[in-house]
Amino acid sequence: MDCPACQGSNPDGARFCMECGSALFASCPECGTQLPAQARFCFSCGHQLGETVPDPARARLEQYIPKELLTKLEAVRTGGSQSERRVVTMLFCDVTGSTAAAEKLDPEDWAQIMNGAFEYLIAPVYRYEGTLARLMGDAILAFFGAPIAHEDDPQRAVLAGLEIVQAIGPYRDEVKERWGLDFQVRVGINTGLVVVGEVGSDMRVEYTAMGDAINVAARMEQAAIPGTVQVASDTHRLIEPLFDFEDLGLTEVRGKAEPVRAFRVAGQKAIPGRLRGIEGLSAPMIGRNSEFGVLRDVLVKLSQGSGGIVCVMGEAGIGKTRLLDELHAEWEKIAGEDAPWVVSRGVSYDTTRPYGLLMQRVSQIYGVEDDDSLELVREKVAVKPLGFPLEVQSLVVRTLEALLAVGMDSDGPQLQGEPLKHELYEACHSMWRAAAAFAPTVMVLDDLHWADPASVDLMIDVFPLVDDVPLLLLCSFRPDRQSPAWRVKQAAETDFPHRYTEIALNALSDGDSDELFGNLFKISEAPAELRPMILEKTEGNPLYLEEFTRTLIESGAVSLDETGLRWNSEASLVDIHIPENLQGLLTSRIDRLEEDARRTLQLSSVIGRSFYHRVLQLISDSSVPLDIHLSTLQRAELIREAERLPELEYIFRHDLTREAAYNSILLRERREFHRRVGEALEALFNDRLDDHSHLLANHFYQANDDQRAFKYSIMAGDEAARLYAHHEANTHYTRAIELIDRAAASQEQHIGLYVSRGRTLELIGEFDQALANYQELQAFAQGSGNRTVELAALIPQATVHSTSNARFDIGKGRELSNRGLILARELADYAAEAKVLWNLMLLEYYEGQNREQAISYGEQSLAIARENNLEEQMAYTLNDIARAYFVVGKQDQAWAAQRESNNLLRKLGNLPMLTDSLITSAGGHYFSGSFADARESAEECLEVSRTIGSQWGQAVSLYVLGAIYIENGEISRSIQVLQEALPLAQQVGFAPPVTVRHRLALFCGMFGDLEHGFQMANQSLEAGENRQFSLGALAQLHLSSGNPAEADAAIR
Amino acid sequence: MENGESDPKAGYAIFQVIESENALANHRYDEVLTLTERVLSTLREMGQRVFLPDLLRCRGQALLALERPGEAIEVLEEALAEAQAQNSRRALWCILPVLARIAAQEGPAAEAEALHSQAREAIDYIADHAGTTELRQAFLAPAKVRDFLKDL
Repeated sequence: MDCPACQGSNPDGARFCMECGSALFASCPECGTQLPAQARFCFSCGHQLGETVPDPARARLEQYIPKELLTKLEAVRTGGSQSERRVVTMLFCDVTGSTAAAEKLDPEDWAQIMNGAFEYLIAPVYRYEGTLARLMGDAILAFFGAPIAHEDDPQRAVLAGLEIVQAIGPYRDEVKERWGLDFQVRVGINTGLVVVGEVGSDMRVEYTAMGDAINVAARMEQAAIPGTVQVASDTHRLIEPLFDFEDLGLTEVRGKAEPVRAFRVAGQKAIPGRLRGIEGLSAPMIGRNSEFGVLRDVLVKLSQGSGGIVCVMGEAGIGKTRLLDELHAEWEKIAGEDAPWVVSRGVSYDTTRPYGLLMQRVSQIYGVEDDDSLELVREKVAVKPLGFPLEVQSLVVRTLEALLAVGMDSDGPQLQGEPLKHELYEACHSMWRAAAAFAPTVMVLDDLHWADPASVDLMIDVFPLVDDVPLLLLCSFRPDRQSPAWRVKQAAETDFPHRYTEIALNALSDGDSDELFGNLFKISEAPAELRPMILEKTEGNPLYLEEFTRTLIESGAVSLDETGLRWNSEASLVDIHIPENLQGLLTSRIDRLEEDARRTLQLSSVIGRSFYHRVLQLISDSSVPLDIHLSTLQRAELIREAERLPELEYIFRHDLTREAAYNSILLRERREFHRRVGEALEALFNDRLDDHSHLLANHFYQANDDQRAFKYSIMAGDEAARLYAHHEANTHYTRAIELIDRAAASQEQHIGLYVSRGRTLELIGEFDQALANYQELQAFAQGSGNRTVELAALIPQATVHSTSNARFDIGKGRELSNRGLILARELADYAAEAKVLWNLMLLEYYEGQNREQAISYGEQSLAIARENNLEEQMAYTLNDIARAYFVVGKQDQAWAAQRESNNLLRKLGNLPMLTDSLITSAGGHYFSGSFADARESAEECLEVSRTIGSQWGQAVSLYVLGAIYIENGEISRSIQVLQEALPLAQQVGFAPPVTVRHRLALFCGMFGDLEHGFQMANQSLEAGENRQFSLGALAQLHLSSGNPAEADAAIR
Repeated sequence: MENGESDPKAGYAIFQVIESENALANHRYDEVLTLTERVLSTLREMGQRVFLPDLLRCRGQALLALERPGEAIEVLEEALAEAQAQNSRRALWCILPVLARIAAQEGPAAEAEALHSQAREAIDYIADHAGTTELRQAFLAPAKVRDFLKDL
């Protein structure tokens, strides 16, 4: 036979050209019949194969590969593909003993042998939709995951590897017989992050992968025993439940510091485990009560003889299979343990195999293996009794035998084409009618989005049965309108509305997600931000939730032992990335897009989760029809319109999709795109740069544009600080500090940044970090001999040690203040001098030995502040001198100072300090016995503190309110606010001599809640709080218990 | 406020109330008088009134125990006036029963009844604001409350 591609001559029976490797035959996509490569219509079923004579190579590939992958491959081949970062599973396969064999043979003979061998090496790669990246003299390299990803690429690669080593067997025998040569193949596989794309020079370009992972794959192949498949641990852990493995221990890989653990694949597991879920962790089904209730009613009706069709739709991981499992258990309760519940499941790599779904089910029933001979198939089908009426059984057996024999070398006339289809349909009708007539039957068709079109048509054809017999067709699939499964929904709702039930599974609500997280993942000692971070990222998808947790375990951030999950204190939340299992799932959706739409998605991902149309327009190539691509992306449900007015804005439906698209962009491209985004934002929002400063800071930082990143980080920090978003402010200031040297910051900027960051750290109660921050500035000052900077570093340290917080330290405060005072006077820095004197006032005041001295310092500070019109310092000093006046009984002066301070702070808009002033007011009123006024001030303080996120302000105002409420006789309210104050006080180190615990203990004692009171008093003793007061609280409790002797013993 | 309580001159008034209560419960009445005299003087000097009613009540009860009823009533009435001025139910529910008992024994019945009624009102208010049944019962359980309520 002549090759239609190269016209080379081939022997009879050849299926591929031995000159160019092109397929000599095509296959009918409708019925699977083998056809000449140039056929335009199927001679079996009449299906039109195309207007033009198909490219034989393409026709060959279409047998295995979906159209979109083929288009992608063509793009790669023609150089229309961009380089990308991807997680890819790489398969190396070589022919062992080829060098020795080639020596013995004429090169032409050897070429013929290798051409034959390549057929067996390449076909499985295509069958599992891998990409043949390189064809070497005696080896191949294939990618699974590039240029198109599948959610199960590692599994596909291993299946392909197993098929290669198995399928080559008969050809080995043939070669041995004809040429007397023995050879074998071996396969090595690894999964990891690589850059894929075109590499090379103007002379030659090749689509390949670069990265450490590919070297490991090559090493696996070199180390594999001939005739086996060997995988590295990174592949192994992704597919462990599906295959049997032999652990080969550690293998050295050249260029890698650490050896790699290798595994030999023994074969597919007889009963594969589930890739989802985490061993040792389980939770009840959550958030699906209403859907479960509806489906339960359907099952009850079925048990009473009424058939139906159900479609359960939902995104990957949303819980379809879990719902079906729960329904199965319910069905057994309703109809008994033996009640028929028959499951067929679509397989991702079988979407182009005609009747694949049906064949899979039949193979399960009869135990037919893929490599069984026709004789063996016949034996198995004949032996297995079906239990149907005789006429049905003979029809079913004949048809199934024909179905299973398709593609095998038949020894006689077999049913083909339309007759086969007709008999198949009839057999299925008969089989399912008979089964359901015998007992109400549930036919589950899970993952139907992966079903082949022929199976779907067959299924739709049996719909009428549900009117006649108690048969329930329970279908589950993803809401993909392009998949054949969508026709199931359309046909059912159009033609069988009276029998149809549709369940659309949506993301779990926030509450349900939180409950699921709480049930599954009781992670002790986890940082508080972990739970909201994971819930935000996983957006109500149980699979995403599980996979994130698996990633936490695998990365070592969380350990799992018999006591449960435990957070590793050295782990960082920043290091948590998209789980590899999800990366494939998310990337596979993106890969289905046309190249331009995909590029638009990537560009959008650089802008952020939400993005303005105008910004995208500016950074996109002007020739790109943006709106068409955005429309495509919306139809693919990857993005949606977020706002139309005042500015057209889109948002990624899932942040993980954005992250997956972003992760695929090369680092150098990312930098360039970020720069473009930053400049677009600058141009578009020139009059509102403050509002967008956080975005600008981030984009220019990612773009490595140090100057602009520095400038906008400071702006963003100041803006966040103005809004009392202290954590965000801290992040921006920290980034700016990181850039100080590269951006050649001025001395003022240097001081300003450290002081601003220290202030935000103090406001969030991180006093140790604040001190470390000031010490960093001090070290810089000492290194550069700059006295001004040194003073700027000393004063805030003195203030931290002089004010009421966990790092209050009279000795350090005094030492730093005295140094600061000398320096301030030396440099004639009046603002610094006033501040230091204020610190000294606080120290004297808190020490309590010499209140008059405290007042003296305060009055000196105030005089300097007034003289130099330092309004903020005036407010600070007035506020604290008021306290000193109060305790020495100078009520009038105290109130005058407090009021002036309060007015100044309101004028300055200094809310953090206003909370302090309000507390001074509340305290003054409280001790004067004016509880209503005290309450008013304390409640305002609480409100302001909550607005600005001041934990200190909240703790102290709640503490004061607790005391006020108790005077009013409101026990419950008092205890409630004190309990609220307790953790806040502990966090910020708010520890007055009479602590929150003392107060709680006392009040509980006063009003009879003795158990709780004793608990608090003992805790305060254990915590080392003021002993005298802890024992005082105990005495009060003993008195309330009617034990004066014990009270006396405690207090004396 | 935390500073006011920590002031040595103020003598941690809230705990000096406990010391006074403790001395009273252990029948060291002279100690109560000495302690309260000193603390009351300091607090007045500082202009602090919040614990005056408690200290005055302890002092009054000590005077009663020392069989100096005239002085006791005077001091207790001062305590009552201060508590009423502050509208401190916490202080009132402790002072009123003492005064009511004295009035029941020595004073006009109407006055005793009025004091009883006010005390009852304060106790009811506190019990109603206990939040939980358990706390309400715990508040009403101590002998001094039970006895008072029984007398009504």
